Amino acid sequence: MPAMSDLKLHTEVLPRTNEPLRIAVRRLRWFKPAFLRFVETTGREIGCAFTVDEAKLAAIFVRWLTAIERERPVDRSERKAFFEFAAALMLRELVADMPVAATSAPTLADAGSAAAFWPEGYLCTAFCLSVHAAAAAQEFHAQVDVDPAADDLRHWWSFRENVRDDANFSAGFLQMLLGWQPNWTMPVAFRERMTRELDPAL
Amino acid sequence: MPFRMPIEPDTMPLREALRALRHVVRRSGRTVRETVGPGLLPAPAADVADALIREVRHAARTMESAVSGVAKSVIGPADQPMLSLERISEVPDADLRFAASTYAALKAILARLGVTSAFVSEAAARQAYLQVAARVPLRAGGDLAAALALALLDARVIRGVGTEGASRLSGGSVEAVAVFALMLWLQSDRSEEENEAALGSATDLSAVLAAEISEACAVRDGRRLAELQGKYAGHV
Repeated sequence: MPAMSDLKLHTEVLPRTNEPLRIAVRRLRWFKPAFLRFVETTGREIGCAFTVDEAKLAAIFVRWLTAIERERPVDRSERKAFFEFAAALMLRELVADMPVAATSAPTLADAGSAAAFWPEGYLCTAFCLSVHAAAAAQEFHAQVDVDPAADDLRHWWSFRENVRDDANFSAGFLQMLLGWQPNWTMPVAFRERMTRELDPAL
Repeated sequence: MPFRMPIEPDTMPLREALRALRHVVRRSGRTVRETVGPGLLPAPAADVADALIREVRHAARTMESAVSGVAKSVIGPADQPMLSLERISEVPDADLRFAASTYAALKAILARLGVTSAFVSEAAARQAYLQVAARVPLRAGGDLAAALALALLDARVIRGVGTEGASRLSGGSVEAVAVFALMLWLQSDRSEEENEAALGSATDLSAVLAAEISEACAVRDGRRLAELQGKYAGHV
């Protein structure tokens, strides 16, 4: 059994919907309450108050839609990989224009944890992983295991430092947490497509 | 022999007139407060102005209450389900259903955009629908939505917008964004229970796209509006 991170996913707080999650997540009327509920749950869990800029959140949603439309694969065999990639792009858009701000220090998070180090980054990462985990379970009956790298604060430090210069780093960070070795020079190029282009024999 | 209802009189013109009156009364009250509000005049004149403002406010409240009461009795309860644009085109009196939905939805959209006062014309909405229905196929999706948006703006379905600095839009035209949001909502795939959430989402999406929408409306670029409708209606 592979090693797993202690990072908590909260698929149970995501709004219920009669539609497949892959469709619901691309509707703002699902995405926004999902994020707001996640903020509330994470805030309770780590003992931290957050404020959310809802106008920013809507703009982030629109940019994410545009990004995934641009990269959407034609080949159905790439769907599963693309789900992971879509989650990575979601994290990129959230971190690039952070819609949430901690208004108090997290009182219930361990001092050396990612949640204590960077509450906003931790929250957005956990949200994207949770949405992805819920969608992957529904579509592919696949369980998402978060890589133990998520428990290493050095990765979070690197994440926080690097996104200041390059927002695309977020996408690589999330792919790493999903157990992939990201293409750090081009983390927002769809991995499958890049692999095929570099090695047409595949 | 079944009982047949007599032909119901068209109450839209009366509703429209009462709403217009209510808008003017509300707007006048605000104007008086803004023009001779507290602290704007020196001591002796301020006392006289305060007394005058109290009288005007009292008169405005009395009049608004009377107008609202009559308006509500004419308008009646809004118990008809809100239909999608496609479904509206299939019902009898589609123009009336479109106009009624447009009025209710635009009021909610404008409030969400931070508009504090505006007059929404149900009659203008009806006129726009009839005009477009005569020349555009009613199953034309984004093209129909774009044509209706431009017709609604031409007919000045929204008038007298006041925001008192509370508008959520940093740029762009409130009227264009609101009408675009309306069409996005009317095109969206939603259940009756999701109507309110979908209306909020359509407004939020349109606020993000305010610059593009306003630019397309300003140059009457129906194709661009149809593209935007087609791109975002499924994401409300």
